[in-house]
Amino acid sequence: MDAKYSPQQPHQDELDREQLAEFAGLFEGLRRIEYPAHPSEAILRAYIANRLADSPEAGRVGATFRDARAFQGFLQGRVPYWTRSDVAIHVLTCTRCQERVAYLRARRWQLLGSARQVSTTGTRSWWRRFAWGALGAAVAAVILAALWLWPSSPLSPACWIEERCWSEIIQESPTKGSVMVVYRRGRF
Amino acid sequence: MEIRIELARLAYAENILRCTNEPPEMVEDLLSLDGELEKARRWFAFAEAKRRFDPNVVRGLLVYLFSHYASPEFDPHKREQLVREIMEGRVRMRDLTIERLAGTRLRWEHIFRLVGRQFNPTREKEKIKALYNQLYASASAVPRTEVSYGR
Repeated sequence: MDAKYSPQQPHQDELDREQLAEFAGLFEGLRRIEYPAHPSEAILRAYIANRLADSPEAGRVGATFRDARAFQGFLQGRVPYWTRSDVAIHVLTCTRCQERVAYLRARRWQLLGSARQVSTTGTRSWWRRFAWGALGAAVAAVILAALWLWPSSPLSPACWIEERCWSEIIQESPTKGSVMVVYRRGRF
Repeated sequence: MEIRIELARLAYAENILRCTNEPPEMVEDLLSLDGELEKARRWFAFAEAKRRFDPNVVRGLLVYLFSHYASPEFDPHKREQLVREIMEGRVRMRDLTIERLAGTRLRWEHIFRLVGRQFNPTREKEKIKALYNQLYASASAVPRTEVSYGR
């Protein structure tokens, strides 16, 4: 069966021609239902925020099909607690809840958008503060280094060690006798 | 009653997408209470395919099916939001529900993004149809060689 397909991936146009139409019949029985009860706004908010679990207990299997009792509750529209699947199927077939979910989703989208904007601005100002701090620290470090290095590296030394740059003169002192005085030439 | 069983089958299909489904043999009786055993078995073929083949690819096919056939009405605003979340990597398959996908008419490129890799949808579809025939064609009361998926 696979031999008729190319091992290479098909192009996008080719892909979009594949619409899995053979399976469309699985959704034929879907239609609007008049429900006697609806999930609360808190439940819908939790559903939109992906905080509604498939089962209120630990474990990954959805609660709807866990036992015959839970399934009977689902069939009669009397769920003891709203699981994510229960809410999804309810909203899918309930016009009123579809409108409520669309409204709540738009509000959430708006809030998230503005929160993201604030967060981006906050990040930007943090970076600006960091950049100014780093620049200040760098300037201070340069000044300190200049002050520390300045005395040990004169621009033009007075003399080289090979060259004799002092003169010694013996002076006669009436109180101390002969005293040798050393005079240094050039910059002192 | 029939419509509720129909919805239960869709809830089960959604559980397959989110990997929270019971094994088919556990729910076969419940999901065919209205006599539509063949319809239930088509969904079971997806559950079984998830066990045998690449589960994410099978889930990708389900995402496509829900986005195209769970609602007859196209919702451009809902689609725009969902596509943006998919392309920004802010939504995973386990976050999706049949209601979230209904009417969004996703393209295959969006499905590939969700799945995390490209695949050939036609080939994967044929594998599931072949698996269905392998699992259930011989078990059916009326002998047949191939199952028609047409309306």
